[in-house]
Amino acid sequence: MFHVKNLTVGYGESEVIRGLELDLVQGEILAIMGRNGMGKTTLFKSLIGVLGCTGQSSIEISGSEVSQEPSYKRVRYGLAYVPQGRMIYPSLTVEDNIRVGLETAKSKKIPSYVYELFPVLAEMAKRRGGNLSGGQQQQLAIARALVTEPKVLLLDEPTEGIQPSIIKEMARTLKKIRDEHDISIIVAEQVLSFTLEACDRFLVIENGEIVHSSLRKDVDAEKITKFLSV
Amino acid sequence: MGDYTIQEIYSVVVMQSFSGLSLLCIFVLMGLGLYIIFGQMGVINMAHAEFLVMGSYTMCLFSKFISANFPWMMNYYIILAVPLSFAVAFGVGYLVEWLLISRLYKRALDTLLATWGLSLIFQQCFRSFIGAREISADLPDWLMGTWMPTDSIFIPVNGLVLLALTIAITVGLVLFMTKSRLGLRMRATTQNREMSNALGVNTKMTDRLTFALACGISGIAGAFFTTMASTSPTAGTNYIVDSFLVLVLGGLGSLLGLFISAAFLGILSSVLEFFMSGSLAKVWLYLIIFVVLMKFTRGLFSARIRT
Repeated sequence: MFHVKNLTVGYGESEVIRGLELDLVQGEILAIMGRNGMGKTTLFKSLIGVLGCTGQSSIEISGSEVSQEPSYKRVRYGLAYVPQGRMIYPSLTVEDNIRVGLETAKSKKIPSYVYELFPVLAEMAKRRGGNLSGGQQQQLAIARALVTEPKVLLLDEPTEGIQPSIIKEMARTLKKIRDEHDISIIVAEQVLSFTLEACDRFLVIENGEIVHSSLRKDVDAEKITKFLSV
Repeated sequence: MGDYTIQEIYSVVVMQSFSGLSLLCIFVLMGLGLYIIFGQMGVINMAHAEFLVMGSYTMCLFSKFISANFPWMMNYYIILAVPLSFAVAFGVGYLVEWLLISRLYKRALDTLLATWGLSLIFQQCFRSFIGAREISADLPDWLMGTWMPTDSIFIPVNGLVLLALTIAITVGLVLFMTKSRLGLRMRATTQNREMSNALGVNTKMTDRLTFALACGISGIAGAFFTTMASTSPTAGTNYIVDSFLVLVLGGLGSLLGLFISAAFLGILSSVLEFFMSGSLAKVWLYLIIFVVLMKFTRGLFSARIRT
């Protein structure tokens, strides 16, 4: 349902992603692992449309080609993005942060499942986003993406700056989101323990190319760790 | 001050304070536009005062058109003139954002220079197409009277109307920004354009509407301005510096700060100007602001948040 073909992205003359191919099936949680600077964030930014890709690149979601569409239109096709560093709106209340995500949703009312999934957001609904802790901001960023009613959720380093105790909880939450909303998730990560907990398939990216792929059942944690070590 | 009795000083302070309130209204309306453009979008719009003049000219020309062709409407034409002033400034603002500002985001100094040039172009257009002389609106009789709460205090009716309309517009704007979908889009886009785009917001259109709205509010300020003074091509330049000061003193992004600093500047400058020359009053005013900003470098009411 989500296919990326020959994706090539760069900054000026330098190509960061080269001819990348990616397929995702409905309800799958895919981990894209790699060290800093290997192209994970660039890949996500190009998938959501913040960065442009070359004319030969193809990004297809549920049969629609979106590679040349602007970012806001890709959201309408079912792509949602939780960026690295969360990028919540610091001056907006928690409630308003979530309401921004309702732009493409049919109903402009915050669905009740958001607060069931993240009860802390209900308690803090009237507080400014900038006053939440890192973990709470991450929950807010996921909630905001979720209300866009996505088919594919892109999560860029969701464990960054989060307490280890919350990381396990986050893995459970991702699986719950996948199971209850039948959406596919791609997680860019460096924390292997988190992806082992949450993901069905693992890709390793190095210098903008996929260099390793494995299913969860035959994942070689040691091999992936080697890729992740500097 | 030795020549005045206590009663006279009291009356002077009340009347000058009210005169300051009228000035406050213009500052608030100008400041609201700047609050959106500078405080939220980060664009220093040096042509903002020309949108005020645009609104003033719209009001003046419309009043003359009504007075010449539909004199029976003279008592009510303001109801149409104010939205018309808004519409003209909004429309021009929309075009300016589309043709100029949209290419200069995140280039604060370039916008400063470009909008300064734009203000000169607007001023020359006013001179060429309307004339260099000051013109005034033909105001309805009911707006020209005074209200006398005591024998020695005279409050102009136009000032009262100006105050009421400023309150109404401000409340309307606050409700629009906090309760409407477009208001939320504007606040989100001005805080993080990239993220808003990635959440499905058409940020280019939102930017355009935001800028146009701010210009439209300045147009309304211009329409009200004609009830206090006559209009000339450079009439707005007297207000642009003070309006920026209002915004900075209040703290960028704070509506409460905008109000309090507008009240502070408006009333203080009116009272000071009664007791000393205009330029000396300005010196004192700027000195006071300087001291306040030394203490509160981010303005009096800047938001404190974790980023």
